Amino acid sequence: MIRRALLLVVLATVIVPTSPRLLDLVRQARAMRPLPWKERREKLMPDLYPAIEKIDESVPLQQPIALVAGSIHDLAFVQPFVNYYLYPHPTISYASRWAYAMARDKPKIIVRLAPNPAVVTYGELRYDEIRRSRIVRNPQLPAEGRSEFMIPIVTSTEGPQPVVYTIEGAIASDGEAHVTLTLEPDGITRTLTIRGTQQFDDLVYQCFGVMRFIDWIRVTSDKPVRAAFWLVNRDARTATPLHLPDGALKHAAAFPDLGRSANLWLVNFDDEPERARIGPHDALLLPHQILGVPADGTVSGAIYAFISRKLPDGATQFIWPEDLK
Amino acid sequence: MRLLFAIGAFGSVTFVLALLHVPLVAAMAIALVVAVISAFMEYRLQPVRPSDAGTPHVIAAIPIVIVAINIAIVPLHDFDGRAFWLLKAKAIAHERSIDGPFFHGRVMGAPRNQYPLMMPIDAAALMIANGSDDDRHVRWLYLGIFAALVWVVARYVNPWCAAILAWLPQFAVATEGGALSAYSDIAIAAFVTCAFLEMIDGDSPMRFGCWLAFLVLTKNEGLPVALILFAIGLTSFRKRWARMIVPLALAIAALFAWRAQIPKTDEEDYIALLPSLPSHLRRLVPALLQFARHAFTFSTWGVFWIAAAIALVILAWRSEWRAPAIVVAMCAVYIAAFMVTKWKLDELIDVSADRLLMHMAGPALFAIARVTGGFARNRYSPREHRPKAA
Repeated sequence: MIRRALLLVVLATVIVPTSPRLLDLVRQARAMRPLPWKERREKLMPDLYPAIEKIDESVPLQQPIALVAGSIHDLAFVQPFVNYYLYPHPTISYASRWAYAMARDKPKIIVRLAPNPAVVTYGELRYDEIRRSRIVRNPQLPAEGRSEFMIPIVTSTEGPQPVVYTIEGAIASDGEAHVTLTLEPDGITRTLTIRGTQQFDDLVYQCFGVMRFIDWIRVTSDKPVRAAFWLVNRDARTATPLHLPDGALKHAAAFPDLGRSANLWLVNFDDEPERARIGPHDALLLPHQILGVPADGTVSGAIYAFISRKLPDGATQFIWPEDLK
Repeated sequence: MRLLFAIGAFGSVTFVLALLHVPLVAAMAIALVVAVISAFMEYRLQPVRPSDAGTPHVIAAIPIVIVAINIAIVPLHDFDGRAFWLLKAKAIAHERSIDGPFFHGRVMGAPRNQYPLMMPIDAAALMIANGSDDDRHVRWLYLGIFAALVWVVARYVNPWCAAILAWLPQFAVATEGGALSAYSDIAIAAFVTCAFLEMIDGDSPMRFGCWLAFLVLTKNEGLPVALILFAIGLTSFRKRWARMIVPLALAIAALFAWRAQIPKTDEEDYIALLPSLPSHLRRLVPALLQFARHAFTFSTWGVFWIAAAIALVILAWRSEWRAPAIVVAMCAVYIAAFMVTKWKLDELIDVSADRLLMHMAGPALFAIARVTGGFARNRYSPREHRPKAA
């Protein structure tokens, strides 16, 4: 009898913690019973499952998918379920964006691994990282406003891991201003409505949704705006201010001889071809073209020119014609 | 017990035949015949027939019925079951192969690629039979194994112990590793229990060897556990040991032959890590303490492991050493694995200790039954002292 009682005591101690959980199971089943099977899964995985279904529906079965993790957590805890519900969809997992960027023969379709995974472009994936931090934390804007100016060089690109270049900066307006940015030489335009100050952490990608190596931007506005931009090397955490000219060179620019370490950039802001003279040589620039050439003496013509040079700390030094005596 | 044997036989035979490049569906058809025949084999194990078995049977049925209702309605939402086990099952069902493109990493990253495939093969067979790789039908396999294990304990150990097993939180309601999940730990627990009972009975070394083979082909832990049971089983089967080694050796050879054909991915190589055990001795006490902390957590185990520990000590004191030896040896293997792991000790123990404890539930229940009276004394004692001759 005592022995039986001992068994019953052990039984009671397992019934006590299990009973409320069994009741929960009954309640859970009761709540889900009216729902179709798919909605039951969505209820259990409200972010994940609908997102995976969307991927499954939008990507053809034979099309391989790159699963790119933003963190170790997503790789460990999201990727297994994405694979499970996508199977037999072929996937290749990448631990980071850089792992994807450096891989050969990679799938073109990218899924960002996150609690709500989604098909994204490489640019979106990259911008997800970029927008998490800014190098120019408190951009100082000039006091004077302008209605038209150029950003003579812009970029949204990356070098070998982990080098990432962007343009950071801000545009401010005391009232409401409608600012049109035109990415040249492609001529892609975007109009922004600026009230107060709008900051940018990757100007080209944010405004135009594209990554570019070297372009320039024409900025026009229906009201004067104050603006400042920096070329940022995010890896080196350096930011170099950009001069924002109104137009072409007003007189010949006698750039110093910096040897092969420097690039001379020629920009044609005009709608017509323009001829530039660089020391003893001539160069023809197509409308809106930006062209890099070796620095070779004084530059003249109806174009804009400046020199860039990479410094040992990863920063970029610019020499603007306005800086020359 | 017949159902468990059939599940093990089906998965194992399919695995071996598929390894020999018999087409998967043909292999499954042959395995099904073997499994059905094995289900009709004569079992000489004597069931216990206590007069008051009705009450514990009803008590044991309650959680199983509730879990069945939940499984019928609520989709699977565990981790390992989906991340590893049923993903493999889907791959086997889809590719009709156990070494197809999935297992060579050509479809997606194949996690834990060299995990044994018996349970995924069983699940894949259900998927093929249902014409769908959706996991909703497959879950009955895991609940079936749990129910069968409870039935085995009720029939061959003690009905009240079966009620305890059915109500153990880690078995009944745990999302990770329990009957609600698609993990393989309940299968391991079931095969250990059956092998143990077979050993106690001492009747069929071949069938004992088959249980060990199923262990080897179910999970990585199955191999050391099978070797422990084999070593202890030598005392039961004595001169008949050659018969029990045949299925075990076949399973081990098949497992390693299959592994040689496919790449290893992210699983930890415990065999390679084992020589580093002496240099990790400082982790022994923390590993023991944390493992014990899990065993004695009321919300997961009630006082089951306290009762089991007392019962095992009493059995050892009575020189009835097989159940204590199995539990202690299995604990030693698992503690050694915790000591040499490259994982963070705390994290590994937290995610695995309760599941590993499940594996030893059968011998532990036997010890409780034995100490508290009931069938075990009536049947086990004579066999213990008068083992059958070869």
